[in-house]
Amino acid sequence: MRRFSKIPLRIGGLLLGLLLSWPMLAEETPMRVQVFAPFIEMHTGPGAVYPVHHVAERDEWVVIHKRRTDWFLVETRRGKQGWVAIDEMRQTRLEDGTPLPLTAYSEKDFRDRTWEFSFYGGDMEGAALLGLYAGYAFNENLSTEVSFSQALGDFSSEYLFDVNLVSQPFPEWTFSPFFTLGGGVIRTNPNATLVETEDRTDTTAHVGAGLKVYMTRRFFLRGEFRHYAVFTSRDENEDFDQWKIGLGFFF
Amino acid sequence: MENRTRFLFLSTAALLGLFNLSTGQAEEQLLGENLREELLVEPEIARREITEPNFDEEDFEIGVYAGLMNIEDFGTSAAYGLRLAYHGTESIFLEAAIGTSEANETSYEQLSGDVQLLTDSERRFTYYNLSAGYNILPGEVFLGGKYAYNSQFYLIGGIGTTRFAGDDEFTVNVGAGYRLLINDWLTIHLDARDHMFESDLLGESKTTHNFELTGSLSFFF
Repeated sequence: MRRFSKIPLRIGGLLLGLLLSWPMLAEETPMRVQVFAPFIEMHTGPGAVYPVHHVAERDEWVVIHKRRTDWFLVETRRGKQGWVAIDEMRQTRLEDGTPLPLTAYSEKDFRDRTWEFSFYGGDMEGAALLGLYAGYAFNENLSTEVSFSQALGDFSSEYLFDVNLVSQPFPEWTFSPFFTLGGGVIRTNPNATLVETEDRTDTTAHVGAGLKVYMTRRFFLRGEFRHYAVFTSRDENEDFDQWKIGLGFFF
Repeated sequence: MENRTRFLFLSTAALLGLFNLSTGQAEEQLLGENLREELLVEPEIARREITEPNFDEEDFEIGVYAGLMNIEDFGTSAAYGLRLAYHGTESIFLEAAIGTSEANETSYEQLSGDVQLLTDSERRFTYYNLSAGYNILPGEVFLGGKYAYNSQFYLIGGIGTTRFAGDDEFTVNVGAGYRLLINDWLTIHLDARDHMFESDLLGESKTTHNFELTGSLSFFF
């Protein structure tokens, strides 16, 4: 018995150890590049507003530690560390003399995305709607999504869980339309102030259409309309409409 | 002697050059216009595969926070929560947070003795929200003459849900915060936030303001 009781402790210790060593582990295998521009400017922080405190000159070798947004933390041979903008990092070369291939995120990357995440707000038959979803793209035109939303009405709150397929016929358009089809469940919780009502869960199906707009870097906007049909256990089925707009990012 | 060798080499080179030029011209004349166009459109050059090197990208920030929350009409109590942020650019970030606090008794409940407006479980104040933030006023703070730390003041706002007194309420949050970067992955936050929602708990429907002041420790990964 005593032997078993130590296991959670050990696992805890292991997790703690991992957590503490994580930042160190992440800094493994730094990459070395040679400055090819006359010089590159090293800022004190990852942003153009932070002052330049050092420059690395042409032919100098620097080690790249990490990237944050479009900034790179580099270290010179003398141990000086600073953040360099992506445009200046493009003017460095690898050990074999080829330029360091770096891409800023663009509309093309949005088309080639694999994963997307977004949160949204909107309206569902007068109730405030909010939620989030994760999407996986099979190719430029077809993707699948899992979403979880909550609609907060005056008399009840509804939770919706949906799985849907999304078809995007014109991924190259800036304002790119999409069509969606899916199903899920809806759970209705009447407000505590109301009496003689009970929670219920029903299955749903929905059809919808919307627009995706690439903004900048890894961000995009998405607006959508959906029509839901609810298959209730009562005599007749219900249906309702949902409008939403969201801000998302992709990988 | 030297001059003669140089002359020999140069003349050979010139002859070869001329030869190349003339054969080139001859070939070009041989090619029909259509064929040339075809060559221009489809050059059979093997594309070099360019793969972006894998860096340790640290655009996410995760943190725990703790502080005080003033729940309107229900006093001030301890609050704590968890937040996850994604930094999209050097100034814009998105944040998802979940937090909780517990309501005290209203002054009416305290004065009247036995009356309880809410059950114990209804006193739990739990919220989640999704917000967008903008870093303004980036700066640097100095500790003594030797240490300097980067800092950012940010504005933040978003939407979410609050579960309180047995109901879920649509909640808007606005606030501001201060982020101090201890090193390139560890940060300290001070954050002030107003969570606003409509409530008819005490009779009349009104917009309640629930102020929260927290400090947090978070790290980039």
